[in-house]
Amino acid sequence: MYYYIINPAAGHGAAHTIQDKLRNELKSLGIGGEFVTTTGQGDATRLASQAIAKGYTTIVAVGGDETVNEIINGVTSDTAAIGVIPIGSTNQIASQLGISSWQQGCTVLAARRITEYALIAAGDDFFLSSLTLGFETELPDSQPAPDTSLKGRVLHLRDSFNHARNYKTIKCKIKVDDGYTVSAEVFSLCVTNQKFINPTAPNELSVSITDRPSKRQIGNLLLRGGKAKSLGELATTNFQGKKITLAAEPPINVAIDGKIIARTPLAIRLTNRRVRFIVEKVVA
Amino acid sequence: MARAPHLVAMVGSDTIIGTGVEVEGALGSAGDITIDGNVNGAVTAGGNITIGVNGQVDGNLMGVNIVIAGHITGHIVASGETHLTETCKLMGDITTQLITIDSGANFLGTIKMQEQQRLLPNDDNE
Repeated sequence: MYYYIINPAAGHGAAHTIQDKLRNELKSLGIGGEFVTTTGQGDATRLASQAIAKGYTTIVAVGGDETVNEIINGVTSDTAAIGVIPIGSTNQIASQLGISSWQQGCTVLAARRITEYALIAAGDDFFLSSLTLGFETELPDSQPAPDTSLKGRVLHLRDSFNHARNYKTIKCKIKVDDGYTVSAEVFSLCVTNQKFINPTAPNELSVSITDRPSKRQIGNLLLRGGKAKSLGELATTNFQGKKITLAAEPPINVAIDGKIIARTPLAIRLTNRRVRFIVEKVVA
Repeated sequence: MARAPHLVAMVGSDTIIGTGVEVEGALGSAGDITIDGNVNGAVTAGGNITIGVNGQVDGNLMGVNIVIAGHITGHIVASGETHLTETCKLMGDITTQLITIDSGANFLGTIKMQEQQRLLPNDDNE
């Protein structure tokens, strides 16, 4: 039984625009189910948890990365599967699962190919995709929302570029597995489950650090949205572990899938809690 | 003079310590390790180890194939090949199966050549 959790605010109201088409598509694929709509932050966690209690075995996020992450935190069953129909402003999780559009999301759901991942805990929050600090985490707070005119977008890009160029790197210390300690000047730092990036790799924390990108790299980064995946490609340091302690001087905000959840210092660890995602392709 | 390589890494299963990054303690990885920063501790890899021209390690290195272009104070144990490049400065002993030392490499220590392990089944089992 499929349980669809729709975030009506995702993708600037994209759900409202596509909802009739979406329901028809799912019905034609034989995977209709119950549809519910979130009413605010954290609601998807509550709804997912209720759905599991009711006996649903497939919970589908119709939204972006924040919606998916909320559902991850609400699905406590090892046997339930999570699907994604990407309609958010940021759909990196879906992209990593091999899903690039809501239409493809429907066909992937119907095929029901499953890959299991270990979740990462940061304080009381669980995640799979990305925990970040640094430039990209500070960007949403420091930059006003752009108006959608060409002039507005150009001005926003210029302001973002200047922000990136003048961004002061952060002194970070990362203790890994009670073994070694890494000290670095950080422009951006991202923690993910490396299996999520490379399906043939084992479940392990992967920490990537970007120091100071060049002007050209900053330009390319901003044109592509300045998000974790783009920054990961610029990383100059990368290491793995089962648990890390992240400290910064001065303390700084930490975000999970774009949502600020805590400040440093923060303990992050790979857990035994598993999440099963419906993916485009299973890699043996 | 060799130019510092520009390290650009994808998030993945290899360990890469970039320029300016400092590591205190024993660094280990099941895969490959590339170091262009400073490490104060032993480095152990299930795969290959590469020390870039900006890399400095104060500790022993143990891996399969080991390429050194930076500064090392410590012993080297390679189950495969050890390559000291022209920019290498190594103070320590080497135990390896194969070795290449480029002209200009700075090396103070001894080399112990290990015999290659037999890849064929033991004759006694035939």
